[in-house]
Amino acid sequence: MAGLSLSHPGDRSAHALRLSWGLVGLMAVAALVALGLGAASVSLPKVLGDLLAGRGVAAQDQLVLMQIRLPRLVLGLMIGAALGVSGTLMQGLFRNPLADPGIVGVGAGAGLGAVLAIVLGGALGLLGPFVVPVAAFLGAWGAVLLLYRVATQGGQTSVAVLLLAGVALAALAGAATGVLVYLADDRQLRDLTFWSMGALSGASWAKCLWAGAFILPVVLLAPRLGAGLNALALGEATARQIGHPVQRLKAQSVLAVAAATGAATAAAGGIGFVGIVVPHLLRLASGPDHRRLLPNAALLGAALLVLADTAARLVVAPAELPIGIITALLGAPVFLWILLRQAGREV
Amino acid sequence: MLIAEGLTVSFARRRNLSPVLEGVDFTARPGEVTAIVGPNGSGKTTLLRALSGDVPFLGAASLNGVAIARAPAWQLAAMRAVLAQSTPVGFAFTVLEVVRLGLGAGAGRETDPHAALALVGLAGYEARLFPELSGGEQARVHMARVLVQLGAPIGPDGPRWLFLDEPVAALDIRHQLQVMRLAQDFARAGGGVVAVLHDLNLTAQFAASTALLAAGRLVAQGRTPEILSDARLSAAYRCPIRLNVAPEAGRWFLPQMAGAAPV
Repeated sequence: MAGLSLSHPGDRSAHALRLSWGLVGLMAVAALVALGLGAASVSLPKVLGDLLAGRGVAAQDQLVLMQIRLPRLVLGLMIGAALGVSGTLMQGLFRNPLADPGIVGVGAGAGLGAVLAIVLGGALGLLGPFVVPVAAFLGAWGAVLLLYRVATQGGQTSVAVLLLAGVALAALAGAATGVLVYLADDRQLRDLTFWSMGALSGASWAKCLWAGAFILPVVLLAPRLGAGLNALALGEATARQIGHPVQRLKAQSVLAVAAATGAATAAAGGIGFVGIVVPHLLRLASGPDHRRLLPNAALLGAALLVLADTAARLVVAPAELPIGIITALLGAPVFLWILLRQAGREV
Repeated sequence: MLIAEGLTVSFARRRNLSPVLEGVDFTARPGEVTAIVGPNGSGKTTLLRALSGDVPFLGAASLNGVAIARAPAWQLAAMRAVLAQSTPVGFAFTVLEVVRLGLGAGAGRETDPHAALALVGLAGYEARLFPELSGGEQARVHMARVLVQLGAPIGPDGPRWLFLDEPVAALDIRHQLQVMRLAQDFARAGGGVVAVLHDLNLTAQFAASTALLAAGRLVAQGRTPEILSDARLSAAYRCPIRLNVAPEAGRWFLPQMAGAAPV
């Protein structure tokens, strides 16, 4: 399609494709910055020179890069992509630019699961690095499946019921979480607070592996839902009349979000704002065609999350801030500024 | 052929109420425009939605010999396109992008969206954002979209069908005629057209066959001049209606209410 854009007014696909390459570049820059900067000083050019010259890399540099920064980078890229894609899927499904992955109960369910594990895990003898992530993932899935069941009657899922039941379920999970927080001791409270603000500090290759097992298939396959989500912008009835299997589309979208956001939240806690902002920015840049929006949302989400994580590591080095604070602190003003510039124009 | 027998539609949550549509027989032939007329709430849109496969119904309905209730979305989409009364678009797509949505779920039928836009008088509107158009322009963009969905009026599997629900409600008089002529041309080329219409003048002018509904039941279906009679219309609309014959070409202009002073 590239090159046809001038002879095809109204066709923004070539523009969106060019944007994809720009985002690949942005992601690469973000990755290099994330690898090169941190509490320990590692010179990337020197490491690269050593590698090319066949010399060994200093043991400490190798440790920092291979066991700390690289798995963290990979996890950050995947989680950013998961949040960007999930946000795009939800906004497309609900035909609403305010929707984010939390709308189908993923956040509430994951939160309840994590709090259960943190507060009651010790008492039940469940300890270890994987208890909280597994509990969060199960919580996310439980919430989404329950919601989907409630909203589906006679083989038809009502998006409106999904939305309303999601609000009710979030309130219920919030209340249960409140009870557990009330029961928690000081150390558990601290763990809870940090979990809810998100962090990539626990990144490891093992975490990358299991999070990737859920996130990568969703990120790679989601663009196939794009044509259906475009038609859904005309309403469910019209999408069906055009020939799209709407019910299957709804099920696949919800399950994809449960898998990707569930895994992302389990791996890094609650990271807000990326899911809602990324699709928004991309629609402003190249229009709402979901076939292009979904891959671009993966790229932009990945780049933004890695940049935010790098900032989180550097601002108060050698300590670090929870990444959720950075995404909101930096993302919200930028988002507001863009919205103000666009004031009056359709989003 | 579009054949429906004993169509009954009731909305599940109001089971104790009488059905929205009860025992309606309806037939439409390719090659002509078939109108569905009747007062507000008479079940016109519900009939069209049932025929589109959008609402469950009792009774039998088939399009080109295919049972509508059991056909999957892609199969129906290849045979008929539906223009709803209004179709809001969720995001700021361009006009061209909206028309291209008609190309659908890989039906593989390429119609030139630019040609379709030219047919509805919107050539050069491709890059305009849909939400920034007027209501009438939006309606014509959707008309172009359904034309793109169908492609040719006759396909390898038989005639294709345009289902139009008040296609001219948002349009000025020139564009009303433009859209109705498009529908008529589609029918004359061998396709089928079923249109819910409020305007009895347009019905008289463009529809060869008309079905008159009242209170969820079929009053009568047949050749338009036979159906549009003073007595039938007055009874169905519960409002005295008189028919005038225009001097040229025997066209009819309706309605003149009894008692109103002639201009």
